[in-house]
Amino acid sequence: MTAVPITIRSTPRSVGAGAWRVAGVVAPFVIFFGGWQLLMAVGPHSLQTVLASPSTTVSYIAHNHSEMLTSLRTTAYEALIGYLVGNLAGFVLAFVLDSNRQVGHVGLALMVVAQSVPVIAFSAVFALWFGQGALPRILIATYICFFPMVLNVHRGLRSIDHIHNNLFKAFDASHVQTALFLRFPAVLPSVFTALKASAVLAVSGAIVGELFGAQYGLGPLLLAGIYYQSPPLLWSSIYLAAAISLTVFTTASVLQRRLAWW
Amino acid sequence: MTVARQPGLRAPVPLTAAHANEGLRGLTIKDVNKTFSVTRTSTLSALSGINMAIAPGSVVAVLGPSGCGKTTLLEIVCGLQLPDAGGKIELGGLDVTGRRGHFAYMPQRDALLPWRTALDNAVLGLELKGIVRKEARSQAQELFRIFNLAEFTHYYPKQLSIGMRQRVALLRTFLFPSTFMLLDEPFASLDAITRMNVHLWLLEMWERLERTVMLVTHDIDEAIFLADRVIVLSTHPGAIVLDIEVPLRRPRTLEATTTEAFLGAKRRLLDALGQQVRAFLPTD
Repeated sequence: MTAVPITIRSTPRSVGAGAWRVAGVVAPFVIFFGGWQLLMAVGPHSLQTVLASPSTTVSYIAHNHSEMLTSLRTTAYEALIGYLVGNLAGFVLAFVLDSNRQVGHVGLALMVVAQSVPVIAFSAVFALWFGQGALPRILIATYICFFPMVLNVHRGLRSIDHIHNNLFKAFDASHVQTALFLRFPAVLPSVFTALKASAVLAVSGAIVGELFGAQYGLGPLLLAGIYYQSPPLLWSSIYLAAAISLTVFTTASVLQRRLAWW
Repeated sequence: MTVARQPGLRAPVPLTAAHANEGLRGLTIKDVNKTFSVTRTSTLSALSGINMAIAPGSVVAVLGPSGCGKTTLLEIVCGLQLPDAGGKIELGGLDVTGRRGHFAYMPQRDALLPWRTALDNAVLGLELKGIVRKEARSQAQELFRIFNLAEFTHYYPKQLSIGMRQRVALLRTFLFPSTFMLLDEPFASLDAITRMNVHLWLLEMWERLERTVMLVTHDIDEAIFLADRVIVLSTHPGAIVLDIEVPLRRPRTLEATTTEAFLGAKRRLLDALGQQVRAFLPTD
């Protein structure tokens, strides 16, 4: 594929329009967090036992930054590895399932059954099998990311226009050529849909995994928050978890706009 | 049953190394039948006893209503489908029945890949035949330049008008390393005026780059204007009911469409098609 198209937009976007767009994204956040801050300031004191104001949370993170950073790093590591492995495996499996109708039917049915078991049930089992390290948490994240990718890419492969398939056949393209020139690019939009969907799931998976016997990570931090009845600690963990998913999601979005813009 | 191409104003230029090595080749379709099984017990005969010979360098239009099996015939020729046992497709004396990659095929819609520029769409056939993209691009660039499309090389399909997309798809067909073109209703989606423009453009291309062409269409005027010979297919089953030569000289201009020769051919084709239409009217 060639370089990123610069001419693709039908109307040139002015600087002012760009600023408005950024404002449109930022404004809801400002309103939300501002409102929250205000509520904590003017609301009844009992609110402090369940909520922490954004400023309290941020300063809590700053004060405990080394501990927070360790937890963040642990969870991010588990989530990211699981995210990459799960999505890669899902991508490959979608192609395998598409290669044969029979295999596809059986494979998809098996996966639906496997995915219908709540992940939390597995996390306990994995914790038992693989101990207290990162491995069981990575496996949960992998397991959770894998399914959206299989479904999306499988559907993407199925919905490749018949006319394109015919063209490649008539031109006597090999299987490798058809994969490289038609099937991979054709499913790219589906790949990014899955990557965006599982950005949040990966972090959830890692944290759920950590709830069962992990020593480090945002999961144990949440448990500590409940144990010590500390809203700032709870909300710090939530903020950091959101930061991980948001980073992954944004990265996927940016890549999508660069690589699958059509 | 063939018409030699009238000499054009300009001498045809060989386009690529691959094209230069391969001269124009004729096509023979022998005893092609195609039967589809509809249910466990009933079958549908789509094509029945199709025999035809297309001379090297001629343009032959296969004309018929929707569902007469003309697309099926084209797909059998280019190897996308197999004929019933006994049917045979020969290209320049070579048996190519069920074999792919011997024809420059163009499907019903333009089938451009949305992630490729016009230029990169046009070189698809060359690339699939193993020609390095850079080399393929320089060949295509030349063709874009000759046919006044140079400014569109870096446009993506969705930025192009439908007529432009069709031209790019035709360039892709011209660039595929085969001098035999198979066109499956390539202009069906165009409005009348755009279609006329693309017709004239295509006639000009054929003047410069000689090709043998089998064109499938349901448009009588298009068949006469583009082809040296028009073959009419009936429906259910698709069988040849008329085979006429078009008495128009090349190069052709729009004026040809109002000549007596054009209208005479149209009358004969309408008559043959009319019998097909009447066949479905209630008797009595």
